[in-house]
Amino acid sequence: MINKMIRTNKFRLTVNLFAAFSIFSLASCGSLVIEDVDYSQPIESVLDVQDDGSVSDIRSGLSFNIKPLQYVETEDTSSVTTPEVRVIRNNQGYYFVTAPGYANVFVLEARAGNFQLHETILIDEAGIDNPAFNQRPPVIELLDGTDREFRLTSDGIEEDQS
Amino acid sequence: MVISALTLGISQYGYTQNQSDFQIKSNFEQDIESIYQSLLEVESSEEAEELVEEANNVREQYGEHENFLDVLLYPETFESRISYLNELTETTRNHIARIEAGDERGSELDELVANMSDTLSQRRDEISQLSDELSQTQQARDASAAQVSNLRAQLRERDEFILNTVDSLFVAYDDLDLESLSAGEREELALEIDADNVFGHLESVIQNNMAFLDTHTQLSSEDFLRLYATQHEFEEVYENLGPQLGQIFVGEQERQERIEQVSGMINEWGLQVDDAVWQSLNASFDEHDIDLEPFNDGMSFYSSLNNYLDTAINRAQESSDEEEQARYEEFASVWQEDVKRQWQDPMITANLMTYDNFATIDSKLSTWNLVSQPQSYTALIFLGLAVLVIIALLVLYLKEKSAPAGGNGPVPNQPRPRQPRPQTRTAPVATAPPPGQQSKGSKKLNFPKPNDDPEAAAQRQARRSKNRY
Repeated sequence: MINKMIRTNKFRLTVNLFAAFSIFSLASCGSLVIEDVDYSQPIESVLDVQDDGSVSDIRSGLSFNIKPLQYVETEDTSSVTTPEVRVIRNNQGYYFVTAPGYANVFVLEARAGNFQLHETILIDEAGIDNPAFNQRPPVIELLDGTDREFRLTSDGIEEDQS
Repeated sequence: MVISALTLGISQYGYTQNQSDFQIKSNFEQDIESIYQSLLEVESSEEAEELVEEANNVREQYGEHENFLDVLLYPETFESRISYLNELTETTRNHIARIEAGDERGSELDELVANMSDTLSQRRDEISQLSDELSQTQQARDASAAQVSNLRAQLRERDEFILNTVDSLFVAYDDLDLESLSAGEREELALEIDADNVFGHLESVIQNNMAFLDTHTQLSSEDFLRLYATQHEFEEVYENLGPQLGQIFVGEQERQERIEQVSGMINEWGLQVDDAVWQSLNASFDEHDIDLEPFNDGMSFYSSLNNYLDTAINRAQESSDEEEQARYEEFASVWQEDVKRQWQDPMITANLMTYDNFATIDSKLSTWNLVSQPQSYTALIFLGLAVLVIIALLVLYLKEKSAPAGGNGPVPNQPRPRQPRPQTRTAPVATAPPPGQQSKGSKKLNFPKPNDDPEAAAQRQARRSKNRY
């Protein structure tokens, strides 16, 4: 009886309608994903820090406050301790942020209306004298103002650093 | 300096190891900006050439980052930036080269202008020098004129002093009977007056005046007149006083000689004054190419003028033309402007010429003017027309006269002679006046004239008697 029903055209039509409904339902629920997106920023942004700790990148429109990062570094937010911060975004979309005198590079994940700290990469306990980022896909290159170079990923320093 | 610093800066940036991309981009833009700034300050082609080389160096130093810089400079590219920089530096170099070429030409012009300025300055100096010399000459002339005036005043004062002196002597001793004075009294009188050496002063006055005339020939008529009057007054006084002065101040042996010596000097002075007057007059005529006969006194001057005018009048009467009129006008100009205006009164005052002399010359001058007028062609035309009219009237008269009085019958095509109308009335004929002339109540009759033929009158009387009866 059942086999007989399967063989019928009515059953085929029912299956097709069900498949189409399923695809439509998945799309309308926000599960659309575009693969192979490259977020890499070709050159770092050197942003001046305002007295209240805010920074702003005119070219990209990015703006945020560095005081939470400064608190991590110095445990003090009463005043701004650095005149500039350096920001670069890797191909994955993570923002790498550091400043002269900071010991760490902060890896931030862009969220809706906020940055979520993804990773804190310790570079030098004494602080980085003159840090600079270079976009070297798939990594971010960090120069510390000496002859040292660090190849950074969103998870830390690559093992094969020179 | 700027270029060297720029070169040093580029080298530092270009060869620093471990540069960040941000730093490379910043250095690249900074280097280009530095070249731009240097272009604004470049002053020579050498500096411009260095900037061209620096632009090439920028290309070499940052060429390895071309792809990276293309991304960072978007929408520009590394190549567009460098090409623009090269174009700008080369254009500047060429512009500077043209300016320097222009500067060379400008330098030549500047040099030329400088030379002309020097020449102009020299000319200006020469003009200034000439102006100074002219001013000095003017001053010298003014000084000379002042000197002449001063000298003239001094002469006048001296003349007056001398004349006053001799006048006072004359007044004081004119009535003095010198013959009655003793030799001692004469000597005392001489010592009293001879303090100033009267004869010496007289000779000095004469010599000074003669020297003055020798050295100053361009004096006015008034000057000459004053000199002339002074000389004559001096001469007149000396003629009266000289012999008496000689009796007082000069010894008997040399008295006459001294008196005659001074008298001769006075005469010579007078001749010199006369000569100066006549020379000045002669110069006035010579300046206008009027050739008068030589004259050296009033009479000869008057005679010379007369002869000249007579000759001119005769010449004009023979042929008057525009040239003759021009000669008249030239002479009249000298006569009116130079002679009469300046010399008439002085010469009359000095008895060199009289009013009649001047009037005579004026009259002859008027005659010369009349006869020297070019002949009018209009008068000739009227004269010719008058002759023609006379001839025509004469011809008509002769024609009329030659025509027959009675004739052999009427001439064809000629009006028949009017026959006298037979008298049918014996009463006096009253001729009716033309209309409008006859007044009412009165009739004007034409009676026979009293000198009519007596025979006709008798016939008329007979006819009246016959008609009465």
